[in-house]
Amino acid sequence: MGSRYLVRKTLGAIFTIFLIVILNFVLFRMMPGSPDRILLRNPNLSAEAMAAVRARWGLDKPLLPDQLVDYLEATAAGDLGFSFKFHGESVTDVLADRIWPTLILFGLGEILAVIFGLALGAYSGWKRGGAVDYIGNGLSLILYSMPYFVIGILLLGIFAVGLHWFPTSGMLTIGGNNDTFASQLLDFASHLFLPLMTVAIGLIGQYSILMRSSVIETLGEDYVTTARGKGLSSGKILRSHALPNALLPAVTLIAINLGYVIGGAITVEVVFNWPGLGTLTVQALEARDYPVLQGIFLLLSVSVVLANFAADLIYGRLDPRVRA
Amino acid sequence: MTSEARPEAAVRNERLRLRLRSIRTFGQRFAARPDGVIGVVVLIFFSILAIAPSFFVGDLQTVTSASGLPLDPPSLGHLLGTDELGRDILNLTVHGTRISMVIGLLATVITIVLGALVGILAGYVGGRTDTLLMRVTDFFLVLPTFVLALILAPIILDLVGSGSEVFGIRVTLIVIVVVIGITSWASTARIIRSQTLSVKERAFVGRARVIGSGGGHIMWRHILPNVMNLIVANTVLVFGGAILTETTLSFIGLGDPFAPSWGEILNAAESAGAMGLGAWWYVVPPSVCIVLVVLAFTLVGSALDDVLNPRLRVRR
Amino acid sequence: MTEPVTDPVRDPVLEAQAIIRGRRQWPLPRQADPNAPLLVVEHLTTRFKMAGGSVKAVDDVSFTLNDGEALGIAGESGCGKTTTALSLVRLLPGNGRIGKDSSVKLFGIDLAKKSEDALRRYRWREISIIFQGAMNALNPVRRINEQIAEPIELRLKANKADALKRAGELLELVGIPARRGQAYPHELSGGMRQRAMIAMALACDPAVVIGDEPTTALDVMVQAQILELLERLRRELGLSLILITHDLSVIAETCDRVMIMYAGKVAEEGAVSVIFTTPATRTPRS
Repeated sequence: MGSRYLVRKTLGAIFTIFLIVILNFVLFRMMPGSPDRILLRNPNLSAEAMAAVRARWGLDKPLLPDQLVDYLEATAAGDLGFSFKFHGESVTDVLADRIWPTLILFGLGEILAVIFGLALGAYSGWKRGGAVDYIGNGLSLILYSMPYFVIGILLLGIFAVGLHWFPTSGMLTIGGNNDTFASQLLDFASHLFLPLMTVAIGLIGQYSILMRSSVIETLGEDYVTTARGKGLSSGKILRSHALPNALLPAVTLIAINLGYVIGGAITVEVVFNWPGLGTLTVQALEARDYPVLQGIFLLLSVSVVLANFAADLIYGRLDPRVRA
Repeated sequence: MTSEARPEAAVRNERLRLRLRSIRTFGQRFAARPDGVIGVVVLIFFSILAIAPSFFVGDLQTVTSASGLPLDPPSLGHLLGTDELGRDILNLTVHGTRISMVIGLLATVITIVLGALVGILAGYVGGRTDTLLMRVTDFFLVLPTFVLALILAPIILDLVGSGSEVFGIRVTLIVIVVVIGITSWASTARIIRSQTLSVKERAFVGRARVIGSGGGHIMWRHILPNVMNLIVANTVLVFGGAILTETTLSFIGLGDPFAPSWGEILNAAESAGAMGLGAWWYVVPPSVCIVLVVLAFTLVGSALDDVLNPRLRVRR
Repeated sequence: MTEPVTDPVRDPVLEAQAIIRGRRQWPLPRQADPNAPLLVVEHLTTRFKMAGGSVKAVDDVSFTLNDGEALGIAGESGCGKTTTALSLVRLLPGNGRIGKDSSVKLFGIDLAKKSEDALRRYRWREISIIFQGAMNALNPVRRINEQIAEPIELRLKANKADALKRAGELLELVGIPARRGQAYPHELSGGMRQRAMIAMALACDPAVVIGDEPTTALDVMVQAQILELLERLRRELGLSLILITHDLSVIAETCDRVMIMYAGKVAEEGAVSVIFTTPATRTPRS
């Protein structure tokens, strides 16, 4: 891959992350009403704790450059402050506790959705007008209009509450007598299934619609006519010519989509009481636990930037035209 | 003099005639798309409900004016059952229509105005202004705007204080409107900028500049009417997206329990443990409404896009 | 190699036929009639089904192409010349259909009556096309030499290494250094892309090469080079060419016979020397 492209994208990512950190600072320290009203508004803090926080965060020092520099140093060192709600635990610890459930749920969901969504979309685009196409397209359109948590509530209602096939909340059965690893895994899997399906179903709709129109557009390109003129079989044309080109906008949009999907993922966790970053966000919101919220914002934003960066790299591998 | 006045009137009449004719052509072409027509019908239905909810179901029920027993399943007296406070769900849902639609509308207005402003400015002026504006736009595009909205809303609420009203709308809802507007304008800006760039190249813009028209005048009289088609199609889709975003924000607790939108009703249902208790009637009506409305917007939006911005289809 | 029926010394057409067919890399198709002329098109009609009915893009067109000849098809935009060429191998969009009475006889084999699967075997191996607008006609994400090698590998059942080697030879033939074959289409200039298209069209040693406006998107200097190349290839390889263009000067330079089309029908047909001096109808100048 051309080094200019690589360097350009890397610098871009770093710059964006820097801007995000600054934005974080602006939001929580520079808003009118002084940081006191926002950061220290928690009744659970005793007077000494408040004084300690003021000192540590340097809230008595001038905003710029002192507070900013302190903040940047602290963030770079991994110190994101201390949570109000969780009784003084460091924000980093609070986040670390809850990141794995979200990664598993969301990561697996994306993988499933990418594989099945793209495959379904490619098939619909290829066999345009077939029964699969109409049904698939219609279904995708409806799913696209459903907020993730509505899909979640639907699945929860039917399969967990109604049919009792799956547990209704949490990640593991509390107080369950699961000693072997296998039974623990099974327990985990049964709790994971419905929220995972929710995330996957919500995403599959979007990816299949996108891939379908991408394939349709690609099939109208001149080089596909050339391929037909060469007497290649339909399968070969699809695999060698149409798909590699149709995938390009798909990769881009999957990356852009990640930012939007986060919102949905948060609500899914709420519906299923999945102990990840999503439920943490809602809890922190309720308690106005700003250090935690700040940490979540930072974490999620940086993740999206990194994911976009990874997508740029993948795109660079796939499309020779952008490698300067 | 009269000899100069008549051509003026003639030009005006001609313009009016052409405009009416293009509206009629548009109407015919749009009517040929069944998905668009269905969408419009659905939207009209919900708009009627939104305009005068009290006319259909009476005033919004509150804790004190709750008309039934808590969590009662659907019956003749309460067609959609009741919530945990005994309020009629049909009543809540119909009133929720107005709140959801109004929030969506206002947020859309902000999004489109901001997006169009930035897009046209960046596209027309070009140069460093363009680069700067696009950097900002790209930043907002990369940022997970939902998370940003999530953070901004409580901060603004805490600063401004909830519970008061502005122009008859509760502050909590205003905050949601503003937050959605601030975080959604970026993709509209990008789309409109592209269109502005291509309109800018057209001959009549060059001519306008030659005769000395100022930038602002050109942008208002020449560029804007020609990107209007795109703006209209985009507005419809943005509206649907705004309702989805508002629903999600309300669901996680940023809504107003005193002016419940559909998302807020679902939030209340979740808090009351409706699903666990099997109270499906609490959850289904607002969900169905959300899906129908967003679906309608999507269908209308894509039909509009096809009719207003026809793309040359070379093959097939 | 069978003996022609008439005296080869007297009939230049049959003489050329013998020489060119003798030079083929691959034998004639099994169903071929060795005495039949190269290509005989009769009553070719192509319709497109549209929203309001069907449109006749090609209306009862007939012509013959002999071995070694260059036939030019000219006419203004929209007269049906490209559609005529694409109809020979039925490379039409989904809503295009050839008329029932149409026949396209290659070595006497009627391609118009063949099923899609059977027809596929003749595409590129017997009739290949140099498309207009090489930038769009080439796959942007694959290397040039791979795209040239593709039909050699798949249609001629060669292995990948041999196919790539042959692709290199073809590139040299059209004036592109073989190592440039590693490039992607966007890395080549317009003229080089067009040459690559020509190399690709020659990959399977076809009987007929159709050039669909091969020089239209190029500037005049490059245009001249491409035409020169086509001329050279014609002489060296004995190509039988159908050249489609709206530019009459190109036809005057390169072709033996010309067919002028108007609104889907044949307006005039004949030897270039004749048509260009005594036009029978007034065709709008392009």
